Amino acid sequence: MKRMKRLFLRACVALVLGMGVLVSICSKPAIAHAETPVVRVGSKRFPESLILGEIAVAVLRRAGVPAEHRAGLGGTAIVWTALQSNAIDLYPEYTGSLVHNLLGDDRRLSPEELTAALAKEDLAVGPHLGFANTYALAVKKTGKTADLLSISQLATRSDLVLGFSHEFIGRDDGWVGLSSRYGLGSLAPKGLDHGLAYDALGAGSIDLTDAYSTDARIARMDLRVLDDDRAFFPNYDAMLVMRRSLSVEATRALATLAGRLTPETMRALNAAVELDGRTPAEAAERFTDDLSPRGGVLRPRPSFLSDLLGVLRAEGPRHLMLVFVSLLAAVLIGVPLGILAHARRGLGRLVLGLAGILQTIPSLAMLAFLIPVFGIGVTPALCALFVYALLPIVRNTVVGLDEVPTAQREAAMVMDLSVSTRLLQIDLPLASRTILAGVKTSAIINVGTATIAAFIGAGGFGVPISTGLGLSDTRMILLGAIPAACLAIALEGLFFVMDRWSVPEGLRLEGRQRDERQSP
Amino acid sequence: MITLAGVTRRFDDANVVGPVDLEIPTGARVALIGPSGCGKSTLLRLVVGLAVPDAGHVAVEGARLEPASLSVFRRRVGYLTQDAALFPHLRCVDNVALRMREAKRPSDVIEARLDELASLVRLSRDLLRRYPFQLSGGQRQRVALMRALALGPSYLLLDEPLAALDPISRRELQEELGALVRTLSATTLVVTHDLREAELLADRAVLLRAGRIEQDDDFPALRATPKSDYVRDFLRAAGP
Repeated sequence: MKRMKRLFLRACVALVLGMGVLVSICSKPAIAHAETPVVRVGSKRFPESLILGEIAVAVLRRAGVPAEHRAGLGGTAIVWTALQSNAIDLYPEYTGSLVHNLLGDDRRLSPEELTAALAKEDLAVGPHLGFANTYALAVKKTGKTADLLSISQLATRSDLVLGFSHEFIGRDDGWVGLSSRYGLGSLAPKGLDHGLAYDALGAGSIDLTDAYSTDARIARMDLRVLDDDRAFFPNYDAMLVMRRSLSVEATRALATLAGRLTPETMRALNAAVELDGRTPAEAAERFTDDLSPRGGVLRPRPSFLSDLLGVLRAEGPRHLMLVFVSLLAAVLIGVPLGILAHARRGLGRLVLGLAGILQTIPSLAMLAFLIPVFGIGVTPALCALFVYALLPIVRNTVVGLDEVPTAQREAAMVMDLSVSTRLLQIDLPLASRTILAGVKTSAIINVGTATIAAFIGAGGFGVPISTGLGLSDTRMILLGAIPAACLAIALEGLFFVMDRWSVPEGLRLEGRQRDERQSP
Repeated sequence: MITLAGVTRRFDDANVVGPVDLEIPTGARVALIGPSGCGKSTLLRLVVGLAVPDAGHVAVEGARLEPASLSVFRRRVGYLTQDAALFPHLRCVDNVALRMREAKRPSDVIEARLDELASLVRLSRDLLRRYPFQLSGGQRQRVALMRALALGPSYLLLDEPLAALDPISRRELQEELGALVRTLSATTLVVTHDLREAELLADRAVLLRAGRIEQDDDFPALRATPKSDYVRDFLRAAGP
């Protein structure tokens, strides 16, 4: 009996210690940098934004200002909220999106009006970079769309498959406004990731997609940009938007970028990344090297294996931390909650119902809800993962305790064992296998869900996945997906060992004997 | 002394146990007998507080069973059911010792008591190191009996203690358990549908019919003067 208790204690202590070590490993860099304020540059999840983010970081570092790139955050809403909540200091944006973020509509603002509106949010307009990237609709010049020249012609073309990015479909200055301006309400566009849209267009599975006017593929794939004959799309000048608290040195360094990126330069940088497989950092390096007298030479690309090791080193500890810290919290809260829910039926139904509802919230939406409360980064990600991990643990604890046979439960009652003895030495050990199965489910869910955390800048194996999706770079997606899959498999193994460790021997042996009897 | 005063437990209109008035003097050995469904197990569950009467009450030594007194009473009870109800994740020895450890007995006392109990039910200490599933049904029942007797109970409550065993081990254990019960001075209440078993384990029979007492006598009197055709039928069905 004592041994049993000791075993349980040992399992708990080991788990807590393990978590502690992980957390301390993961939080060290943050502590080391705490003294000099690092300029945090955000970017959205598509090549141009990623490149501009890298360029801003490179320019800042060149000027001696410490800077880091919170690369590939989710869509505009997430980056904008991040800037507002002071989770990042600046990010590349386009005037049209900016006005939309600020005012919720598509008015055209004079530069003075824009500056005033931003000032209210404690934000400022940075340098205009020198090119505009307006939304555009792109089609192939051959086949079904050979004679399609302008957006107004779409009204009569119900035969075309429209594939738009989710962001474009949802935006008032995207499909919502466009379809009402042109009377295209009867068309039903498909939503797909922007990174996949050109491949889909090339393969003929869609006929038309939203594009940005500086997309490298427009030229490379010889696509036609439809004429916006009713002048719907607003002006999308590229610029940096920053917090007013940004230091003078940083502001001065960034100002050197004003007007330096012509549309041709931008398209070339986009092409280097999207079509020639360079990373945004490499493209940015070439650009900033061009600014310097040395001129730019590209370094040879490292092998997949060394990149994979790099990802493991850079993102592995963070991913493990996200998975296990949230899991530990879910166990520490979920098991007692399950015990409570088992003891009080009414409360139990309420708890399980609530946990069930939380579980159905899509992970990206959950993260978006949490940003106004916790900002971006690790905290909201941990919260979301905790919430997702909770239900399987609570539910399995309740089920496991329900499964304790009546005869044994009554025997314990008549033996007049104390509540704690009954719980710790009878009920929980008998339910341990079911509870552990719940913890395992949660752990595996978390390994997958934690990849989404990269969308809000929490790091982990989702970083290459998110960036890779933005760049439609399969290699980069695999750099994140392979470690995540391996981690899930490793967890299976870990729980196999945990089973030996935390499920009482009597139950395991009995189960094995039962299995052997049943097998022919 | 256990007293049942007007104890009634209502499941639905057709299924009512009681009202039952019954006195079990200290040291007495009483068997609750009758065919299945007559309410004998329910009465035992009412006594040990696993069911609560809808009317009437159970009293032990004159004190009504309430949550506080129930706990005191249960510490003096040895309870054995037909399926042994051993804890599958604990070795047999820990099943038996659990309650003694809970009562903070020193380990040398526990060890001595384990030896004593093992020889009482004729199990080797080696066997006790196994898990319940590694034992035969009869051996499991012996372990459960050890567990019931661990603290030297004043009350022994047996609910169909041998009903789940095969006929041979059942016969063997009936004799043994009967002899054992008679060496203990515990007030014994045994529920069984088997008249022979009842006679081996108890001195007095309480025959139930549809939740109420039909006849309450010692065994010779029961056989000699059955009160009704119902009793006669039960005796005849039970064999000589």
